[in-house]
Amino acid sequence: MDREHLSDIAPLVTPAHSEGLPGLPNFPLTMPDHDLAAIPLHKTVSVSWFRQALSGVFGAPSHVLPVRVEQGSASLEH
Amino acid sequence: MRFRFRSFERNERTQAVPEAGKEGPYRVHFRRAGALLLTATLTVAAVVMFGSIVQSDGYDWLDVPRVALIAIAGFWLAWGTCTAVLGVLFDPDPRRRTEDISACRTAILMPVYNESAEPVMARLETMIRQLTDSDSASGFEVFLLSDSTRPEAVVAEQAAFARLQQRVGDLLPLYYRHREKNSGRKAGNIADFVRRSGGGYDFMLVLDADSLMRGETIIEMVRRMAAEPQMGLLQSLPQTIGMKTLFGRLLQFSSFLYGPSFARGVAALQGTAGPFWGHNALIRVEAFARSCGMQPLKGRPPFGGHVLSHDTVEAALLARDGWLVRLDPDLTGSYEEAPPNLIEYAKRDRRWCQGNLQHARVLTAPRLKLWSRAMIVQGIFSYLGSPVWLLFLLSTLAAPLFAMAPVYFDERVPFPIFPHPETSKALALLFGVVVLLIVPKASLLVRVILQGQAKRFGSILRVTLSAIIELFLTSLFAPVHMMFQTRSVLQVMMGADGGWPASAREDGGLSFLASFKASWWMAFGGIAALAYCYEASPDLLPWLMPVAIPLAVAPLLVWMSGSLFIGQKMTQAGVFLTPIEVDGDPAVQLYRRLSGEVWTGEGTTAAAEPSPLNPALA
Repeated sequence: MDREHLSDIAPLVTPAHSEGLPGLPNFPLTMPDHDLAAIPLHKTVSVSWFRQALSGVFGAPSHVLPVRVEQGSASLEH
Repeated sequence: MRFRFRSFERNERTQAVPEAGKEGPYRVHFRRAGALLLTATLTVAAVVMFGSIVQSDGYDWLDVPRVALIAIAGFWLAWGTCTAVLGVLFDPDPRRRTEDISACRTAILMPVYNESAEPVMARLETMIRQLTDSDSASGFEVFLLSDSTRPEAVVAEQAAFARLQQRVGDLLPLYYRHREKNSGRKAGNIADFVRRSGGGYDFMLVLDADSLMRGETIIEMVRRMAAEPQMGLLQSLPQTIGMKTLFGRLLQFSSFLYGPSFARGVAALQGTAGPFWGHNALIRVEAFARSCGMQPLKGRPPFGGHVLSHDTVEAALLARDGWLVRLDPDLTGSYEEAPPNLIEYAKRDRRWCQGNLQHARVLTAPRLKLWSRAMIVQGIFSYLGSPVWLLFLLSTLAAPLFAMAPVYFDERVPFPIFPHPETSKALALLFGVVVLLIVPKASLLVRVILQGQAKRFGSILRVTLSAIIELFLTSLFAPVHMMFQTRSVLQVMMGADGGWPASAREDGGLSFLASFKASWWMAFGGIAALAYCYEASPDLLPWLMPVAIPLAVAPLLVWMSGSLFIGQKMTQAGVFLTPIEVDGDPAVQLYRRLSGEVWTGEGTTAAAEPSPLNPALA
């Protein structure tokens, strides 16, 4: 596998070598930090958990309509 | 409209990740529903029984919290039993694997933090030599990722690494990196690697400083992950090795006798959202980079700041983005060490307690899978269970003070009314609790014997005797452990940040003075409870003694737990033997030899696994 294809940003300018020992090789990768901020418990329970529990038992609903996002807003695609 | 927009987001994310190949999802849901139903039934039975016992002398206000506490504690106990029983009944399906892994690039990551350098290098050399003995080692590279803060530890590990490079540098590429600031601790250490070098690798094997894995196990993990493009994390089953104290050998024996079955129980319920235990696991780098970056939680420690027990949260985040997270209980040949005594165990538990309670802040994070949330709750309750049991005991001790005096004569009834004795129900409840505690272990022992595995623990007689002694000792240690955990929970609740001191991994003993200093307050509590009970409610004494007597002699038990002498005598008597000691393991044997002859200079004999049955290892 071509290692450079896995890197998604340019290599760092200065390789990270340490005390004459071989430092980390230069194959940088983007790793965004996700916000783990809690959402209100009642919303989690009433919508997300219930939906997950149902789809977990009965499978995903087959009538989910495709949606299209245009300029930051969502609309149904008929 | 907002709901549809969120649906779109989820669809986009699912398309970005190859569709998870759910293997029989309905079976997983049925198992979960069955385990939950059985747990709920047992809990209701316990509550009804206990309710009828406490009402025998009339209800008072204290009975309400007592019934609530028995419901919580009973549910937790029954859930553990159901998981263990599932482990007896369940065998995972055969796993898909790819033979040709020559194109896969795997980074083996060994994070260190002020560790003793030589044993770490001995483990790395063992794994490198094991891997290069196979035909599939071409894609592996090894990284020592240092977060050490003590200058002497940094100097020692750099010198040891240079020596390692001289010895095995021509076998596999080796790299060393030291971070000046260990921000984010181990999670930050791994994230730093991913951001700098992750683009060069398909997978990363995350280890701990005390991890040792067989080469064939590592290769098998890569084969399995390469065969399943949707897999984000594959957890092996780490088992304890190298312990010499009584407590250490007890943990080691349990990890071999009960560990595999317990892991099968966890695997039976995991679906696509399995556990991550922080080490000895293979992770797809791309999945980790996309999903597992974590902002620090708002606020100050212990509930704010960096997520401490990051492994559970990382597993939940991977599952949230559609990656398969799986524990494969058959992936043995994966080893770690354990705390050698009750004090070291409590110190480690204090850190884990803080990390797990901090997860309360993550519990309602958006889009987590339901089962991931259930696992987070389970982690929290593994620590809240101790204060719940203690509160139940204290409220039961206090109950006689609030009990109403019996009324023998009622003017509406022409004859005396005597209180209805509920002794039989109380005994039945006690019997039920004991059964819930013993049944999982007994059934796991029977499974081992029926499968002809007993000889790997010495013999049927030796494994049975060891299991009985293990049950007796864990029953003695349990109240001490309960008190340590309760103190940890209280410390965290009061906002005390325990920090992350390096664990002592030397398999050393304890002085009685150190044991007394750590546990005198338990002895005081145990003796006080016995004295109070003797005065106020002598009928309760037999019920209290299994908890109060171990507490009263806690300093002795703590000291015993770290006893090398008792551990050695047990080994000589053939108690607590493990398959590693009876059959041997090439990786462990090589590690002992390298550790003794090359790295620590203690010699092979001093570092060998003790075994009266296998002289070649002794």
